[in-house]
Amino acid sequence: MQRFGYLHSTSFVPSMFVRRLVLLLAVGVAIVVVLVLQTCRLTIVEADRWLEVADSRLSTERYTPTTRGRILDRRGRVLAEDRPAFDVLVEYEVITGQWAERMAERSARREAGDDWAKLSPRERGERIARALPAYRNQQELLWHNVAAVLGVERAELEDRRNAIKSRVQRMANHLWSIWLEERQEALVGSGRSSRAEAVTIADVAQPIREQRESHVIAAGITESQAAAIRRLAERSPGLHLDAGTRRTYPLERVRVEVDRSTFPTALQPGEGAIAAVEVEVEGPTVHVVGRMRELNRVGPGEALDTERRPERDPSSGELDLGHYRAGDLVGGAGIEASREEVLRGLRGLVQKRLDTGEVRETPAVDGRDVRLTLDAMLQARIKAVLDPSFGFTVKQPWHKSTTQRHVEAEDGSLRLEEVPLGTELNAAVVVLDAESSDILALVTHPSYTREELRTDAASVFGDAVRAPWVNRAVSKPYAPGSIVKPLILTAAVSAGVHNLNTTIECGPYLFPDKPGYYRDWIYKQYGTTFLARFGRGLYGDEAIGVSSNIYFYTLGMWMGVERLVEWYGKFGVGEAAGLGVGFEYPGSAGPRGRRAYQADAILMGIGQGPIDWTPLHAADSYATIARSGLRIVPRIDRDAPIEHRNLRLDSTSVRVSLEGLRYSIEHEWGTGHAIPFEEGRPRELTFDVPGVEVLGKTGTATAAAIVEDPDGPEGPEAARVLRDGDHAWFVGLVGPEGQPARYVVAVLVEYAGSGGRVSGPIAEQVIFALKAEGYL
Amino acid sequence: MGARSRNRRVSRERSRARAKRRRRDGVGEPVDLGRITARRVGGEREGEAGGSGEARHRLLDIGARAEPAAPLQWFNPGWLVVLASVLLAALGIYGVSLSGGLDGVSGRLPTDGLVFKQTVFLGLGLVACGVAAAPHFKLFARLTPALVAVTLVLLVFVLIPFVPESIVTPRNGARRWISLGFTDVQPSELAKVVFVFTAALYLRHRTNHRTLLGLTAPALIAFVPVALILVEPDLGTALLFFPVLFAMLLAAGAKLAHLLSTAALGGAFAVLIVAASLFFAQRDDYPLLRPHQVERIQAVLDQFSDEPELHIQERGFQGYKARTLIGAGGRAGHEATRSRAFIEFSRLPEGHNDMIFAVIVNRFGLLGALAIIASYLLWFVGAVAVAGLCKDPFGRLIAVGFAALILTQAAINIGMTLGILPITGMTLPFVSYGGSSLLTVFAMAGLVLNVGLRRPEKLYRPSFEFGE
Repeated sequence: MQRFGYLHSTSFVPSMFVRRLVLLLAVGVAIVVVLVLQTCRLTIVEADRWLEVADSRLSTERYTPTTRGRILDRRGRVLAEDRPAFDVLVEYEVITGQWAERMAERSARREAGDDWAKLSPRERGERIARALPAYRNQQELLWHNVAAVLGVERAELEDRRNAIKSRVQRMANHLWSIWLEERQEALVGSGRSSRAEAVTIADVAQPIREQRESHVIAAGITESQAAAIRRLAERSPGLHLDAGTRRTYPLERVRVEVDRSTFPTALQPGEGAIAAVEVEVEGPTVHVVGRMRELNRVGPGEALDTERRPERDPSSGELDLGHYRAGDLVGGAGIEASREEVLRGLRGLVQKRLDTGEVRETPAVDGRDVRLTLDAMLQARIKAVLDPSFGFTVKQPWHKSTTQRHVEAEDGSLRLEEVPLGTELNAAVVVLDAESSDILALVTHPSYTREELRTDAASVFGDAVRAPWVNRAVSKPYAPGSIVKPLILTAAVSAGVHNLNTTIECGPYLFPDKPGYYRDWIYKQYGTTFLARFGRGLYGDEAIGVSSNIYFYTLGMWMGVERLVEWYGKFGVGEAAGLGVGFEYPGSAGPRGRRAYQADAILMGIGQGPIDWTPLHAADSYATIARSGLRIVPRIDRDAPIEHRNLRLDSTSVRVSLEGLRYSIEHEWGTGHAIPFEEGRPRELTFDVPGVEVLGKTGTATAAAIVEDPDGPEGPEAARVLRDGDHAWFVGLVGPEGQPARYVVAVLVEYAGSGGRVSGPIAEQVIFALKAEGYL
Repeated sequence: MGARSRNRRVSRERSRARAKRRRRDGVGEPVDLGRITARRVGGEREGEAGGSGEARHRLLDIGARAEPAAPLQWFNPGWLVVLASVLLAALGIYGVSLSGGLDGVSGRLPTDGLVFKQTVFLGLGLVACGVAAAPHFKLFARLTPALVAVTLVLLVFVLIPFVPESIVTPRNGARRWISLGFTDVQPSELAKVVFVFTAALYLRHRTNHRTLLGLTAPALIAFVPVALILVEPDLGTALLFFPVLFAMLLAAGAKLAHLLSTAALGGAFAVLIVAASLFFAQRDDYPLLRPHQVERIQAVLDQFSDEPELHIQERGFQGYKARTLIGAGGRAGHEATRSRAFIEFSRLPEGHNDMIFAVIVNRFGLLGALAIIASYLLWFVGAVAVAGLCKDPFGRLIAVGFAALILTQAAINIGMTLGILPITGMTLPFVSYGGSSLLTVFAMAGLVLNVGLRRPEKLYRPSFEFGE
């Protein structure tokens, strides 16, 4: 006891040395406690995370490629598919030239050996600079060789390199600015807003994936070039040959035979010329099928593809084999875009355990095909006929159109003038199956090719009048005009507003005490009235057949705006069909942003005023009538669900409307009956196809002008009218003679004038196309 | 109440008087009942003044003959130290084997040769332990000046630039080892042991380390080897000397206030240097610490920042790999094959020496870590207990010195493997692969056992009692 201290009365006082030793022990224990705590933190608190990291080092993963599904037409023709293609890839490092710097650093480091750690950064830089030129030369040689093999100019390669660099840098800047924002938000959120301000791009600028991968410097090279590149790649680091696939679009250009003997005489070729002509149709299905786009090239505010479908689900951590990786293409427009989830396959996964050598393989799953209801050859034939060279979509003298545009006079002022003869017209054609409302053809003119889009996008997007990128069949609003009359009749009768047994007297004006308002067209054109012609009021079928305005002004007035909006809605105005071919205009009925006046109802009765729709709506509503009131929403994807509703139309009214449509074509007073091509020459029947029966309606719709307004609605510069005139409509039900209608054909020609004169002949050509493809 | 406080006052007065006497006389000393002649008892001593004259005189007297052969205390805490040493060494051999991973599956060098060598060295170490424990520890006190000379020569030898690389192989830019063919000898290891001897020798009979000025001499004793080692460069080992010196001063009775203030000053100085280096590093300038040293510090700080893995590719990768293995070990580790697989594919550098802790913890998990840390604590406690039981000042101090040495080195190594300290080149005593280091630490264990075995029965005047 004496060693350790001394007794003082009853207490033991430890000696100083012992106290000091106890202090030392305490310090030792404290150190041990700190070590134990940190160990516990790693092995207990963070154990899962570290185990995952360690586990991930034990296996490698490799994805195997998959094939994207095809897009097929109604008859199984391939419209889009993946085909094998050779691409030349170069690693990003070599593209930017940083490869040389990295190699130079490596060699300088190796040369310096153990002294490297002692050198200052400046000294290191000097050594690297000395080693650099050799590697730079190597790079130069690589580019020289690649250019030689590919047969392109060195400058061309440089352009491609720069294009890739700027694209990747743009992507990196975009991602970095997002990461910067996120970081700042996170810091502000955790209460460190002062630090958030100090954070700069440099803090978040981690290399993005694209900066560590290879990029395509030349695509779709020939096999012999591929072999040469393969040999070159063996001795050039950073160069790879990729045997991959390319999305190809067969039927991008289709050769079609057109028989001009079926044309109206005015459009037939001269004596001695061969009737049958072959035409190459460009891009007949491009609007429907769509195209692919680069990964992450999305509009502002849209989620990046890699975020929408990441490799692992952020909450569950589950692996998604269909995730987007660099180099992937994504559907950008049309069916390619809307059916992306179906078409995109799942990659396969090969997981190899590094310790046991065990391999686990998940096979790739190919994407599924999309089968369309569209008939590509029918589509091509219709598109062929719309070629301006044939004259159907070009202003002709017999069109008697009043299409105008502003022309600059010598003094600089604008003057409205008629467009000259031969001006090209834009058109759209829709063909539906009358029984199922499947879309057989959805044609818009003019169109474009994917190549044009790639090489000269301005020509596609820059022209406001031609606007070939617009799918006029579904995307643009048009005033329907007279073609709504069968709808109005059936609606009015089904709504109980009109009795088919009564007639309506059709004088010059709707309100006899208000001359000048709501005039009938026959009075305007010919100075006579239907009352005078018929000697009595008109019945429904007659009114449709002669397209009397007074009759339908009256029905519209009796219906009132509310009921009209309701019935238009039942026929599908106000909703898009949801085809997935891009933007679809839903149609609109009734005034917007203001109260309804009686004038609205009157005008809506003849398809003018606050009512507009698309050619698809037109075909759709006629199909509904043909099915006696059963509306089926048109489909273009064979696997899309079928939506139908019953309008419960009065069956007699349907019958009468159909008779009216027949009257229009077959009766000499029908507006769709015959066309006078020249003064003094007899009129020719609009529809003269042996064995085929047509029931249809013409329409000449007053339309809003296309206007170019440089200063906006209040600007000092006057709006410049680019096109002003009437849209020419024809909608018809077509079938074999004596049988119910099989197909609905809707034709629209923009700012072209008379429906009967312009669109009627085109509709006849559609029938010939249907015949040629075996539908009739 | 009154009696007790009065008694305390009396005893305080008495001890103050005693202390005054001792200070006047120079030092407390053992009183040998058997031989009163040449020993100082209380006051007069003819001729000599205090201080070094006495010390020299006494040294000559001390030898095995100074005391009758006292029976060895076979039951003493020193065995705990030896036990801990053997446990750690055995674990170390297994660890070296583990660090080979799956025997070269991924191209790692197999470690069978190293395992064999380490086992041999374990045997040699036990021999060294026995050799260190056999003679009375006062022999080493006598040998210390010679050892100091040898050490200084070796330390300087390592630094001579003209020495060919076959003898002094530079590794990672450091010239630390002398290669003797089959193994390397590290002079700094020897320096550590000799330093403890020297400091113990200096402090054992003195009191002037109780003054602030008196601390300068011990500091100088430390600065000489530290400076030589710093030049190698080996910052880690150099820094190790200071905690050991402090521990020994603490045990020797230096005033707490002095020690704390110098430690605080030193700490502040170090922090200043580190902060300045980090600041300059941002401008790519490295006036004080070397670039790789600054990077290592940055790597530790990274870990506690918001985004620990931001710079992991440039720096801190080694620490990250070590932490991965440790964390993956979990509570109880994994079975051998799986653990070897983890180690194999972690590509952990220096898995057999600097980072061996990570390897063992991966295999045995938290339990393994606790076993290792507990073993070091056992070593420490055992050595401190030996110091407490021993009355001889030299013995006390060397026990404390070695305790501090082992624990500090272990703590630094484990701390760096855990990521709370910057990576240094320090190995884990007993566990890491390394012949010279194993021999040295077993010798230390032997020396502690030595002190523990010899507990003289004499009534020693207690040493290092300054009446606080």
